[in-house]
Amino acid sequence: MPRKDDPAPARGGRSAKPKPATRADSPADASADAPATRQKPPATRIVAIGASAGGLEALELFFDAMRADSGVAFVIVQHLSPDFRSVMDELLARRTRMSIRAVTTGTAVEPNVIYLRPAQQTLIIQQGVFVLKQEDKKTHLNFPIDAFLKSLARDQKDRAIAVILSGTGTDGTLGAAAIRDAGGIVLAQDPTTARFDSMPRSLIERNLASASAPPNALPRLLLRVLSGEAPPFAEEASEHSWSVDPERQIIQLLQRRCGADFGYYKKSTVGRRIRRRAEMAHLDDLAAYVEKLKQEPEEIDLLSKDLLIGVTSFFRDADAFSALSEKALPKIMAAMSPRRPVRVWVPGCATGEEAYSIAILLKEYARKERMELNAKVFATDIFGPALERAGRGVYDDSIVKALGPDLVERYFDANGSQYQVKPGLRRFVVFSPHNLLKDPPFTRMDLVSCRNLLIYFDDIAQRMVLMLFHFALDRNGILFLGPSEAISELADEFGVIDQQWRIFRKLRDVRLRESFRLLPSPSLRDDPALHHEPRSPVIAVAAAKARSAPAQRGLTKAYDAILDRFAPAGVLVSRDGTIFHVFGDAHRYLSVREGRFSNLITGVAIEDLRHTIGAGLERMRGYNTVPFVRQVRCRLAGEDEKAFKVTVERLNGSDWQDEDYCMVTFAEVAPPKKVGRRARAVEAEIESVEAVELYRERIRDLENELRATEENLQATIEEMETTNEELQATNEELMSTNEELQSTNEELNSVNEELLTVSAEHQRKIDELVEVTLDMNHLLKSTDIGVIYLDHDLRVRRLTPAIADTFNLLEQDIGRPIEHITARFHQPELFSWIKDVLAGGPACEHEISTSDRAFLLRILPYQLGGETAGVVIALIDITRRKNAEIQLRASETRLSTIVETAVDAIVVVDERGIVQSFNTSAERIFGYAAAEAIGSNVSILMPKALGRAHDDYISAYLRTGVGKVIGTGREVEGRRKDGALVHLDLALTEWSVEGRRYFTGIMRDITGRKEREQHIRLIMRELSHRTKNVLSVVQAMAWQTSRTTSDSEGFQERLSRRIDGLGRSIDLLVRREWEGVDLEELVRDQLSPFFDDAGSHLVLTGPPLTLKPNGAQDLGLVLHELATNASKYGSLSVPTGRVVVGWTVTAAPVALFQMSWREEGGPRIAVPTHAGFGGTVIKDMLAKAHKAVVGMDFPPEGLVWRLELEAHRIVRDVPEPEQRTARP
Amino acid sequence: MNDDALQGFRILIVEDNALLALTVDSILRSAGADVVGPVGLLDEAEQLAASEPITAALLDIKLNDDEVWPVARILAVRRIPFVFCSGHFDRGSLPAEWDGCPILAKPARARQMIDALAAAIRGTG
Repeated sequence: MPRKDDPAPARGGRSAKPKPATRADSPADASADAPATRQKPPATRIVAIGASAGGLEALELFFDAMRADSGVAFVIVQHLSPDFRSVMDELLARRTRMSIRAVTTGTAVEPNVIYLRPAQQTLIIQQGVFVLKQEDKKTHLNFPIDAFLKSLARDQKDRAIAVILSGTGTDGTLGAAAIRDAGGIVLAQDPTTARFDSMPRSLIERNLASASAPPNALPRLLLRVLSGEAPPFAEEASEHSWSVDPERQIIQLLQRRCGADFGYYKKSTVGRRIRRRAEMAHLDDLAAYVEKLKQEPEEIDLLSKDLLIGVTSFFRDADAFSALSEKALPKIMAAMSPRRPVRVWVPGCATGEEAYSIAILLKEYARKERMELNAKVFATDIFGPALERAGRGVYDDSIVKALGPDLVERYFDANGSQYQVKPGLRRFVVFSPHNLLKDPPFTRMDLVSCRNLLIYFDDIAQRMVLMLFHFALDRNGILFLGPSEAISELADEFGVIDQQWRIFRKLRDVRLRESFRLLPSPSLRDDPALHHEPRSPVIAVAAAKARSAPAQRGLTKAYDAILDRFAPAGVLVSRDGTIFHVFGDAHRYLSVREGRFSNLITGVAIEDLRHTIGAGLERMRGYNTVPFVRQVRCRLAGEDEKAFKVTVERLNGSDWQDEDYCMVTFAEVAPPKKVGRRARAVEAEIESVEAVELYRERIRDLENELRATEENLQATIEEMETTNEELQATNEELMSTNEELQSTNEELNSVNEELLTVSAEHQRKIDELVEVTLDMNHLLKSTDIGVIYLDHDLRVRRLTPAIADTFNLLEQDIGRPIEHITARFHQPELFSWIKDVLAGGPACEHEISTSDRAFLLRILPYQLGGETAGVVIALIDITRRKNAEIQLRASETRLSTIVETAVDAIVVVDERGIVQSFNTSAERIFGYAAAEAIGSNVSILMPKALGRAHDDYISAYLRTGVGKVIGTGREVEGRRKDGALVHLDLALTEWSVEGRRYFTGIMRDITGRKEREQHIRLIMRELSHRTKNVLSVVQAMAWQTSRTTSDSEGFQERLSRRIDGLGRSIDLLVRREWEGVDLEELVRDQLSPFFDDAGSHLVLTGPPLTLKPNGAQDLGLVLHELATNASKYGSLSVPTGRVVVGWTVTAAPVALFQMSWREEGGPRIAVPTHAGFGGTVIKDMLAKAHKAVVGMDFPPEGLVWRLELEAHRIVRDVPEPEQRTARP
Repeated sequence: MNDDALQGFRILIVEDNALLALTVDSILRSAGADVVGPVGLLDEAEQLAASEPITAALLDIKLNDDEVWPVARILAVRRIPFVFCSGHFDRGSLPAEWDGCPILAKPARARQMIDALAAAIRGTG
């Protein structure tokens, strides 16, 4: 080893040869006292402490117990979060006077200093100097404890010491191995005391720990190590063996988690329930179950719930409650007054049924006696969740069976199948958490009802709890227990009211015990967390018994035998003389006397010994440990006087801790010589004769001295008596003051208890309120609806961020009056609206709008106890809704206008065929008012036959989706209200809204069009007939013309003229719709082609006359032929000629139509020599067809043609004969 | 057109148009027939049909406001053959009563009339 090159340690002028120095120092350290360190500064021993999760607690305990001047340097290596500022230095500073420093590189180790590793840095030590390295971020796992321990092992070799405390994982294990390899010492925290035991357990399992102990015991071990003692330390190891009985471990776990000490519960019950839970978890090994409990705290909760929840119900054992009501309540209630409530304590109330039962019992009693109930029922339980349920007071309907409908009705509010205790009953009951075995009791109770709880406790706890109840009760207070529970030992303190139902009365006020706190049960006794618990002697003895009982019973018996045989009779007493135990035949030295019993040895020892023992005990006061031994002569019952040796001895031992006990032993002193009775008598006689004189002289001296002393004494006594009287008076005053204080104190105590329970309730309420407030804040923050809460003065109390859209409001405006805030919309009435609501008006809604948005403003009263205490303004953005509404309305108006003004009927039916809408045109076409049609089946608009089929048609369509009509137009027949059929052009469309289908039919009335079409068809046919007739006539004309004309030109000329004439007749007929032709018109028309100015050439005389169509055609043809002849040969062939046409209809019996044609002013004529077609027409045609008489004369001045026929053949109707002259 | 297809037959002509009546009269005469009528009024036609000796008849169906059916029925009762001649009716639109009766469509040619009547008289119309 190149020692020269070793850098010198920074401090202490330490040798560069650590090894020899260590050896030399070890004995100095061994004394573990300051003088050693004063002599020469030894190389500082370095103790590395590795801790992780749960380590702080262990560190605190460790340093609490570690002296500050040990000369050791501590290096704490913890797992630290990189983001978390450790306050370890501050925390530890409260526990130790050693200075605490953070390590920096180059720091040299100093004694009595605690070094802390900074976060994110790897700490190692080299040659007694700290070195820090940045942690390698690339590797996910860092093992700072291992790193430091390894460097420590290298640096300090066998002087290295490591302490591994609570923590998860296995960091430290490898480092510990390195230290052990180097010959160093490794101490581990006892895993059962570690909050997280994985780190220390890992060491122990690998046999790396030199020793293990609870953290507060580790310093002691450490000092022993420093003093050179090498582990293992047998007694420590065995005392803190980490492998313990699993049931005990479970009880420790339960205690730590929920505070209940199940060590005092009946072992069989607890064991059974633990095993049941283990079985439910499919673990048959309790050790495995312990592991499960350690990993799953919830399982501990479930187990504790299993253990704590008992069976309970309302008025369990109804007879017991009636006995209570009849035998105990009258007295309790009689003492009740408005200032003095009845006080009841229900410990172990579980889910509250018993407590409410008692409250109901009291209420019922008060109701019957017409009293105002003033009571407080304190219901307590250790199990929080049960209390919570009890506090809610909600039960299922099984209570109806237990309580009967009357009580349920009176004390519960039904809510479905649930029943909640009414506030009127609830307010009498106060629930609060309370551990019967640990917490101080309630006091001044009139009644303690504790049914079926004691049965779960073991004997010690039962006795203790009963004493506690005794203490809690007022004199004459009632104790109400379960049917199988007894008061056993306290039978003297309680009077029996009802033996069957276990109702007892407290007889007298006496304090049975000083403390009602139980020690941790034996199962928890070595749980270091509980070590500071004080022990009371009784329990200590009992516990000692309990601890040793099973294993050492045999041994104890042997001891007893030995004691009986060899030990002197003795009595174990406290220093004030209270007897705890009597050994051997000590009873011989004791006698019980009449009068009040005393358990003081000075009260029960026989007369002759009393003073000696008293003197002995007196001597033992203070710190005297020398036994007091006196020889006394006395006479035991039924025996001669003998000499006895009385020894009073103080006992000290770990079991007794700081309390001192004394042992009083008696031993018979054997007579000095063994001689015969006679010899002894003679000897005595001689002795007495010799001594008598001596005695007498001595007596005289003594009597003189006595007299002087008596006188002295008398004076002193008188003095004393005066002083005593004064003291007496003072004492009495003090006593009364004390009593007053006592009672005040008790009152304060009870008030305090009540306050505590009330405060617990308030705390719960506060928690609820906090939760509700958080919920509400989140709601307010996240909602899009702008909300403002205003108080009665219109100040802003709360608002949501969304309100900023419309009011210029921000969080900081809370508290300002709303009137100071400007809104982004102009609404002068806003404040009057708000004030109306505030004045008690109803909630109101208004629509308001800013330039580009619309809002629904809702103002609601904020009700508080029926009063309007403010208003809530909600602003809901309805811009989109509003726009949509406007668009919708516009579109609706547009459509409805179209529908209403449409010429076509528009009818909407639903899928059952029921008419939904019916427009004006539909009303007009069908004759139904819209109101009549809407709601009727559409078949009313159809011909009967079609209507019947319509429903089937619709349903078939809806079923199959196959329809012929949808989407296509077609002609159909409709039925009007009056039954008339109308022709309709129907277009049908289908649409659906919200899954319901509708059909719109658009129908146009085409009846008129149909009629016109019919008419046209008729006219066309008629036209065809007429045409054919006219063609027949033309054909006849052609035939006739061709017969009488030889040349084609003449034929053409004549035929066309005749057709022209025919055309004129037809024109006239058409003009009069083929009904007939006015005769005068016919004449003028037929003659018009033959002259330009008819006025001067034509004279017409005759009445107005209408000819039948055929007659008009026939006569027209005749007139045409006459005019043709006249224009060729007669008067119309010269400009001066004229024609006179006259006609008349003669009167009945047979009306005759007479007509004449006379030509005047023409050339002279002669009788024609041959007759052509014209002649035939003129002369024969009418004669043949109409049986007419035709006359023709040919005077030279012009042709005269006459016609006479029965008027009806050609005349439509015969008018009154009326002479008429054609106008010139 | 002077033939003797209707020589010796008495033919009743019912026709309300005078020119047509005159023309048909001429045509039938030229075919050798003796003409009864022509007549244009229904009651006169019925009278002739019921009383005159007639071989056959040519009946215009529309007579002013009447139709010629009563005349046809009288003729049918008398087993006198007849031929309808009409611009209104054709074989298809003739009332069912007259199913199978010969009918000429107006305008009919002279030859058609003569042939139709001759055929009716022969009993093959």
